[in-house]
Amino acid sequence: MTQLPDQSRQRQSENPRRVIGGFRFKRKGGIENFPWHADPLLRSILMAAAPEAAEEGNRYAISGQTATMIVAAGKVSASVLGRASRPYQLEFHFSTWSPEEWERLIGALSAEALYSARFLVDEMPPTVATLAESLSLGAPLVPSKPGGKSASDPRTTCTCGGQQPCKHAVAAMHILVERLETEPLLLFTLRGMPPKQVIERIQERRTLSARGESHAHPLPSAASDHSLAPPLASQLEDFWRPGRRLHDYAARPAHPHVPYALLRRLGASPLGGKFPLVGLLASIYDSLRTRGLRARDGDPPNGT
Amino acid sequence: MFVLHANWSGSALHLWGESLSAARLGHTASRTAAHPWGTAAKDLTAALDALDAGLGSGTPDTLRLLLPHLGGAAPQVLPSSKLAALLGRVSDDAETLTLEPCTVPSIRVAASHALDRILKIRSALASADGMIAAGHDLEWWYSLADFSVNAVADQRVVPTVIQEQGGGFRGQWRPWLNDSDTNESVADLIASMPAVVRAVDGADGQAWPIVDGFLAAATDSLVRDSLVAETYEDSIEACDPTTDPHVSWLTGLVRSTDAIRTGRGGAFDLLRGARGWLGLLDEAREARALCLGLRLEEPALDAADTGIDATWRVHFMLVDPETNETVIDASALFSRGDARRRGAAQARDEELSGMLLQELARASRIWTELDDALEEERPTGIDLDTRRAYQFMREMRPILLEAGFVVEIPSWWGESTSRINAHLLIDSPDELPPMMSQGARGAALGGGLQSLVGYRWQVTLGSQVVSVDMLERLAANKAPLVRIGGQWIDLRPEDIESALRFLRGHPGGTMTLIEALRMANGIDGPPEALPVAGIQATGWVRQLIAGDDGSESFRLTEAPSAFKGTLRPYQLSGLSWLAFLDRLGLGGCLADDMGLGKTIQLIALLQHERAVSGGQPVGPTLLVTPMSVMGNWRRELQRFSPELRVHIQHGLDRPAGERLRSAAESADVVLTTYAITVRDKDDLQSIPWRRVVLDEAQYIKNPPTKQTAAIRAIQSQSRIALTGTPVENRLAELWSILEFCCPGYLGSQPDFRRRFAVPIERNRDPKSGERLRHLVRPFVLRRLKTDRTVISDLPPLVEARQHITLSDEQTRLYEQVVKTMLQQVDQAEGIRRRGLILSALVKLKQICNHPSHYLGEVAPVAAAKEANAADGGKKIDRKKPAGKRGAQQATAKPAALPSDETLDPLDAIDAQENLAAPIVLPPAALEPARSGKTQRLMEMLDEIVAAGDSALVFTQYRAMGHLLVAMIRQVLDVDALFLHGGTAQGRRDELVERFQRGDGSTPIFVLSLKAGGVGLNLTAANHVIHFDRWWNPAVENQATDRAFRIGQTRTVNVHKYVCTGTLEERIDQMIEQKTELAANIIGAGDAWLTELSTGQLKDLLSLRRTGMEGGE
Repeated sequence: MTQLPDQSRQRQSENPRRVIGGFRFKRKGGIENFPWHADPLLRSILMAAAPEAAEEGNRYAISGQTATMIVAAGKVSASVLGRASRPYQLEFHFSTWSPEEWERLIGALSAEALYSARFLVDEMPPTVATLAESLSLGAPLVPSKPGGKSASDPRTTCTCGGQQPCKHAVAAMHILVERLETEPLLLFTLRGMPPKQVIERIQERRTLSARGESHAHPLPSAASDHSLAPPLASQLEDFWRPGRRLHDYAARPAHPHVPYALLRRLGASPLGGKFPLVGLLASIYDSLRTRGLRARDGDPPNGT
Repeated sequence: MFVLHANWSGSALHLWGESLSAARLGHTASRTAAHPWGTAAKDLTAALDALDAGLGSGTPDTLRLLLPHLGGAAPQVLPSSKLAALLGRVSDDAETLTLEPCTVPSIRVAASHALDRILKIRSALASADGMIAAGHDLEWWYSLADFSVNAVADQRVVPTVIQEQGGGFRGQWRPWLNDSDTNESVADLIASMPAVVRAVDGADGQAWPIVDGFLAAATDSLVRDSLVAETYEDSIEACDPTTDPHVSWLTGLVRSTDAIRTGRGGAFDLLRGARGWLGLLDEAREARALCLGLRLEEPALDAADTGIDATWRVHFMLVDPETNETVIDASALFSRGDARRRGAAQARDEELSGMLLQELARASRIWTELDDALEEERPTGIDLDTRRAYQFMREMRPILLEAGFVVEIPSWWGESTSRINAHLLIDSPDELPPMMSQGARGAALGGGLQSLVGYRWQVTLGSQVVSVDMLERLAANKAPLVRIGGQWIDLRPEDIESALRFLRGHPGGTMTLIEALRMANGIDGPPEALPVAGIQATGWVRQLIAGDDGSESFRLTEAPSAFKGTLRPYQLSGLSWLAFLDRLGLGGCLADDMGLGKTIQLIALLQHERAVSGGQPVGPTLLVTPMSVMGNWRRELQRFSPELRVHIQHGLDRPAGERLRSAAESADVVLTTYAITVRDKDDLQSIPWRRVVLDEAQYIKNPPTKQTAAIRAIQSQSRIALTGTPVENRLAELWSILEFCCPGYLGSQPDFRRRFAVPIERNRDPKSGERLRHLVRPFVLRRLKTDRTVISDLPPLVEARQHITLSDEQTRLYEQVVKTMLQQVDQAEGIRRRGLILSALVKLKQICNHPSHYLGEVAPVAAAKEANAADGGKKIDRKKPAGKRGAQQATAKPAALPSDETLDPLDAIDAQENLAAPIVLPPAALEPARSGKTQRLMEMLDEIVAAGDSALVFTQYRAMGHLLVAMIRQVLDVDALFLHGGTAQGRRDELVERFQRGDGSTPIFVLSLKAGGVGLNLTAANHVIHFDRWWNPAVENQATDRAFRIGQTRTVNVHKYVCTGTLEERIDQMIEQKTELAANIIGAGDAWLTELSTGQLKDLLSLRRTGMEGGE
């Protein structure tokens, strides 16, 4: 067990400024007994920090000096108020997995139904860490090499200019780890991909391997209505002729032509591209109408 | 020759064939389960290349299919339905079928060329005859191909993203199938997919992957090829697909390759984003408790401004999507949100306003004007100026409706009366032009259609006629909607433009009636896109175009007095119509349903014109009929109008040249056949006819044959076509018929095809259909048995004899058998004499049915026995226990006769029950024209099936039943049900159940009189045909009662076939006249005949010549 800073030796004279509504480290068990996916992160930063920094960082965390914290893919930014009037801005830069590494991991995770099931209820099975290890990804699931060097994981920076990890980093890490305890999937964010996306990609993969492909368009309900096609063995006497519903179909008037109906129903693209996609599609639909009408009049599709 | 089939396998189209010759030779499968008749790849390639040299033939491959086999130790593959028809194969229900794998050579066509191939095959097979026959499954592929072409033409396609296992992301164009009506079409296509289409081994009989695979490939190739051809790729050339998801998607959509290029990990985001976006289209389907309603209210009548700045208001409301009823108006919802409403009521209001806002937000994605409303705290509606209101009605409304909103707009919108319309005004005198009323002989053909009428055009806005000046003022105004006389008019700028051009270009004048009618229906004339609202006329033209509605104007008060029949009210109005057209020198087509009495109406017309002319000769009518119904015509003419002089132009000794001319001149009606019309064309064309009438006018086929040309070249004042087929659904037939009776009226054939046939038949365009109906209405009269005016006139049961003329072959055979028998009988006595008579009787009946029935081409086993029987009764000892109709027979015949019962037709059926199945009939056996009866049966069944009716066909002979089923299959392409003495009980029930389902898939039921004449309930049929006669009215009536019984809701038509001049007719007459002899006949089998003297026999059996035999 790592020896923790002795609180009785704290200097009482210079208390930090109070933060109203800051994140307080209120955990009952203190820093003990964090689960496997959170513990190494806190333990390693306390080890890496100078004893005073570790000790003061712990006190800062308890008194709620962390004013803001934003968790983004591969990066956590926080502001921590110390004795100075302005808060220090600090950042944790985690090693992220490359798209290829993610692809490998998601491939492995989608091989078992267990993972997506657990992830859906916000649980992180311990085997994910071993899986990540066995795939020899560039970084382990749980980061445990904090420091100021470029190879550190996370690499910490702070506007206080002190040696890293500084007490501010230690304080912010308390808060992050406390959150991690209840939101274990946050680890994926730290490694570069939000958990929601991980889950989606796993499910995507699973459908892909179940169906052979995955697609953006929904299927009509007729696609899954198996009653429409009775077993072949029951149709031996009438094996070659189209059924009578072909006449129903032929009698149904074609879709009335409403120019650009689908495009207008779609509205603006949510994909966030800059290229005027909808505009180009409109002109494409014009071409399609012309071409389709020609084909209708008997000009064969591959006519040219 | 081979039958072509198509399958979808491994993302490619496979074409394969069954060779007719291999099947004829009876090749059987080898142990490798190769299809014994599979067409070799090189033959397929050669034949397909011959169809269209430019195809690029595809790759030889092999297909493994699960096909029905005839069970047993070594299962034999069954021919497809098409091949079976070509072979004349009759399936027997004794067969047990199993599904077995079988491989067949195929030509693999890449997915990107699949649509092209299907469409080309269709058009090539439609025009070519020869090497390839289309399998029935191809019909289904044609529909699927049309579906994908229509989806592209209607812009019902969407781009999508597809990730395949193994990683690659592709762009694809697909039809959008999730709107409820499209989904329903897809369900229909899947449900109607022939089993063989999903019979690829290993594909698990699944339907959707085939539909999905083909639709996606067809749509994508059609779209992509056209985008590549138009170089859409250039528009994204300078853009970076790694940073812009739009560009990235387009890389997979507009280039000839479908791979999507993206930055790292971007493809997945694109897939997800595209899924979310396309998902928005699906929202309309999601069940919502309440949806947004938008109600457009037009400016008040007394509003200050009714022009371009008028204020229109769209009110918001919440509507129940189930009932389309307004639950609450937004204004009501928000105005009651005050302090007095508390608790639950208030919570409910808050929930409702939440829903309203959510729906408004959803709608604003489509109709962006709503954004303004959403900025308000309590949006209740938005105001629009006239231009925006117009845009809302014309453009936004259909989209909003599709997206699942409810939109209400003023009722005048979309009505033709609220658009600019052109009206054609025709002036014609009240009296008919003198040339027509006199009916001058030798008048030019179609004189009526070519007569000149005065005309002018009018343009109207609403109910107001407008001048050029006013139109010009409106054009300057540029308002899309104007209010004229309190009514809003949809004033599209393009409409004004065309109206102006139109009025300046068409000052009026005279034109022919044909031009006027075509123009009034928007066919010819003004090319400008101005809707022609209609035609208004004075005088006789008004009567013509008034159609059925105005039938009062030419109603006759009564039938001609010399007419010996009673016309039902609808027949009287049919006569009036014919007489009216006739007075104008116009032709027409009487297309009443079978059984409504077209013959009688036409005969009444002939009688009528004699009454009108007051005894003056009016000139002869040439009546052209199929050979099989000629006797019927002759008989009906005699019965209803005995004073009409009829000359029958038929037979070897028919007159020619001058003799024919004088025969025609001294006759009122010259009755002849289609075949004779061709042979005697020179003589017939030189006679000035009063009128030419074609019965079964569908014989005038297209493309024009020698026969058609010969008939069209006959000079007459008017032409009338009679047909019972639903001409409105058979457009090629309609054109041919109208081209005969109203030459030029429907335009040239290609023009008609382009303008009507393709849009109606292939694109199911209701507007074109409506226009065509309007156009032909003055010249086609078709009443259905189900029409209300007709149905009240009809008795529940209509019985009629069909008098059938024997074919030449039948005549020859018949006379030969009678002659031989009479010689032999004269010298024989006792048992031998009786045997001779009975066997001859069977033969004569068979000859009346079909020569091949007699000659033993039908069923070798049974025929051999009968042939033996014919040899003087050596083997008449078929094992059949006696005593079925015991007492009478016992008294009527000496017990010493071993043969009499077996020759009872009903027993003959049972004697044949051990027929080997399956039976393959030689092609000649299936030739309907060899027998007047089968010829007539095919004509009648064709009309019955086309009209959506169904029929029971009774025959005494099982072998004849087999022949009929095979013939029906080959000639009409319909699988008839067949029930006979050998049908097992379970199978009987199944057949009856299938027929009674009445879904149109099995409209014909052939039954043996003995097995099917009692006990069954077959009320789905409304026609009963007694193909051969069992001389016992009680037995026949019992059979008729299968259809005519409780549960029958329609009129039942009973057709009894009787061959003219034969013993059939003679005995029929005896029964009808209740002669003394008849009492012996009924119920007595054929035994009584054996007691007749040779003289009596001769009188009864020998063929009575009527002048209609021996056409050669």
